[in-house]
Amino acid sequence: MKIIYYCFAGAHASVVAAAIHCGRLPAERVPTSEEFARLPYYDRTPPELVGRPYFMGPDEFGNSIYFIGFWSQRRQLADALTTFLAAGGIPRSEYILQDAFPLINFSTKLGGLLSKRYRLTGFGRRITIWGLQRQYPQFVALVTDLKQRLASGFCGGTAGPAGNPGEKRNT
Amino acid sequence: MIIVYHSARFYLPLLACALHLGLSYEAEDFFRAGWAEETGKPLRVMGRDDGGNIVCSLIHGRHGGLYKRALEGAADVFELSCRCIRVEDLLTVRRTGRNLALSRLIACHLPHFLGPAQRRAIARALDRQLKRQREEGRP
Repeated sequence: MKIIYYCFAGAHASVVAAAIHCGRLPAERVPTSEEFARLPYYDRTPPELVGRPYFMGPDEFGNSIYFIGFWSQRRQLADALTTFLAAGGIPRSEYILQDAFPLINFSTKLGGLLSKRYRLTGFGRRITIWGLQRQYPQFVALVTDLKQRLASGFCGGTAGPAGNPGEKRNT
Repeated sequence: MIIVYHSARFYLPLLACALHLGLSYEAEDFFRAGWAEETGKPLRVMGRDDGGNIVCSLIHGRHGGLYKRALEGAADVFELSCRCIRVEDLLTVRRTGRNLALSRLIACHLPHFLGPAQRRAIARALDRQLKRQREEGRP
């Protein structure tokens, strides 16, 4: 099965969720800034390549884990991809599209904006990491929930925004 | 193979798909019904051609590159054969393979101002290009 995490730019939320899923980030503690910065693709996806799926690695069950950025078209692109794959004869049991964007908080959004749009990469990256460290347990909960669904024979498809009761959900 | 005709404007991919599949686009309802269906769903499967290819229309607004990368990337990941064709490019590309900026500008923006009056003219031009593509061996 292929599991595709998606977010706005495919540089922060989806990368972190995919890394937790693959075991590249620890699930039992909050990683250090260096661990985040060492992640492949973390805050490094070029804006002109947003939309392209990137392979993060396999998980312990042998599933392939990808991440992708959808800009502001998350709902529409998830729908388009589902239609496209159905047209190609790929059953929904063979993939999961999981939205990770609703998990990120204001500081990660601000850091991403500074890093990507205003080219203040060092400063912006530090703010994104600070924000992600505060939100990290929610990312772990998202991945754990998805793994539990996989273990219980979940049949795939498009998963809606992940649960974060305190966070305003962006559409 | 999955063939995706895409454009920022809603009627161009519908027209291209209709011509590719040999459907009638003359009825007023064709575009109206198409538009109603497309508003919530950017990608729509229009049918299967004689060669067994699946023909889809995609309306992406100003996010053409994003949709193209996502679909082509998904095709790579799932090992599907896919071809994305931007209808404006198809309308303006010359036999030499060159794409003239002025004719591209006209194809992109003039129909928007002239409205449905130019639909037949666009359809004729698009039909010619599709036939030429087929002669050149492309699906």
